[in-house]
Amino acid sequence: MSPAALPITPGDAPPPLRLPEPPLLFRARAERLEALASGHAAGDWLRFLARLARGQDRAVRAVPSGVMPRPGGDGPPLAQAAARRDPAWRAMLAAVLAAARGGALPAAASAAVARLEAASPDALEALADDVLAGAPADLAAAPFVGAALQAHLTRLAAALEPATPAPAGAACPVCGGAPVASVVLGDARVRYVVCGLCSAEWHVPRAQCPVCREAGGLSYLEVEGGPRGVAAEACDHCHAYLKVFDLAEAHSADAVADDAATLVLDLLTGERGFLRAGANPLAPGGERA
Amino acid sequence: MNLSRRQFLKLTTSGIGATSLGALGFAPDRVLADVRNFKLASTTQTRNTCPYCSVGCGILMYGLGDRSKNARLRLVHIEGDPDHPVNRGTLCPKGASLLDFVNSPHRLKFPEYRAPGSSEWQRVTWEWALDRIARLMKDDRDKNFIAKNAAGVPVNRWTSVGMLAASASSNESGYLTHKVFRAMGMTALDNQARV
Repeated sequence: MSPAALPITPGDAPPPLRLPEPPLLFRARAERLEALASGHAAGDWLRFLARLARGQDRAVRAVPSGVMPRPGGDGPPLAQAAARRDPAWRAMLAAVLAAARGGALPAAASAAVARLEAASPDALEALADDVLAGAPADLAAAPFVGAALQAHLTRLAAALEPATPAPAGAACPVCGGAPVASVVLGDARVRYVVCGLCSAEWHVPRAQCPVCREAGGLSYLEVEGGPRGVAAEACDHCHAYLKVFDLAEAHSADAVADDAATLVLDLLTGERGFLRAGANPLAPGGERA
Repeated sequence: MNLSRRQFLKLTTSGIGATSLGALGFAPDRVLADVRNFKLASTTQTRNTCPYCSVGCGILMYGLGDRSKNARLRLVHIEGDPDHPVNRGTLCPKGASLLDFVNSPHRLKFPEYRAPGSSEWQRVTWEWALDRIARLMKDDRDKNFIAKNAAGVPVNRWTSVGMLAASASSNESGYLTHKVFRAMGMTALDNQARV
């Protein structure tokens, strides 16, 4: 009788890249946001973000795929697809806006939806460029535009071959976007940094700054009495932080949903003088340092 | 898009208006109240090597305490290092209980001496301990050293004393251990005292 195969072979390196599964991702995120919203200090906002995620879910199912970008050239394979976008993303924006309308909205949010629905394609492309550059000026429009871009690029990333990515520094090796947060897997215990834009996850060793790759100056800041398994990985070398969600303790955490729901950790970490390296398209914010 | 050129953002309570939460018209009052009511706890994660056996598994040690305040860290958790090529996050039962070994009240932190016939341990200095070990080794070697065997062939053996060395030693200290004690003629030498 041969022994049963172990799920992990000691010595096997973790896969360098995990690509998203859009049909599962956005639905699970919407459910996570709804679960986080109950009893939360910003519950209305999280329920609003859940509606955006429902809209993203509908968009990746209903909007026909555009042209798949051809691989080639240097740099991340989807960098060009982010910079010169297929118009399919604007159809996704329409789905996101329709989903946002499906519940009560504050006046400013209603106005932003109306503004985006009336905007010309050129104006929308300019907004998208602004969102992709980080720190968008129109913070009321940015969550809708960011959600549509995220749905668009996530679907493109899902169609890629999971090859070993070329290192891209702290940026996403698939689309060149900014990370939103890290997750530590519950079983394998390895850490993946999650792209806010295309939802690809790339492996970075634990206890190492995912921004500057220094290991000696990290502190893990947690809210005392706050949710378990959530920390800001703050680096004394680059003075930036990225949140890390330990899925062994924060069982069903989603990088984007839980990042938004832990805004208090951002504010407390910001008060200590650390800058936010994470970019959450659904919850943009912060001032230029 | 490159993070090295992208500017990081400052996110503080005074700038809550500069978030989409504020810009969309959601009320931030309760979030700001949470900020006043909660404070941060700081932990660290440090890589190390398990001290037990020659496999040399990587471990991650979680310490509670503020690195920036130079406070003494309290070790609160140890797990296998998932990025270490030797063990990929796994640990044997002995390694998995390292935390209790580190925090044990019975942990030996300095040399102790129990005199022949005595039941009491007393704390001694390293100098005293090393001098005494050297003295006893010299006396034993002078008494029991075998320069030649029965056939008159030079063998230079010292068989009455053995040496257990540390399995977590580096290659270099393992090499030196062998050189020093083999040069004295010692034959019972184990540099992998894992059990």
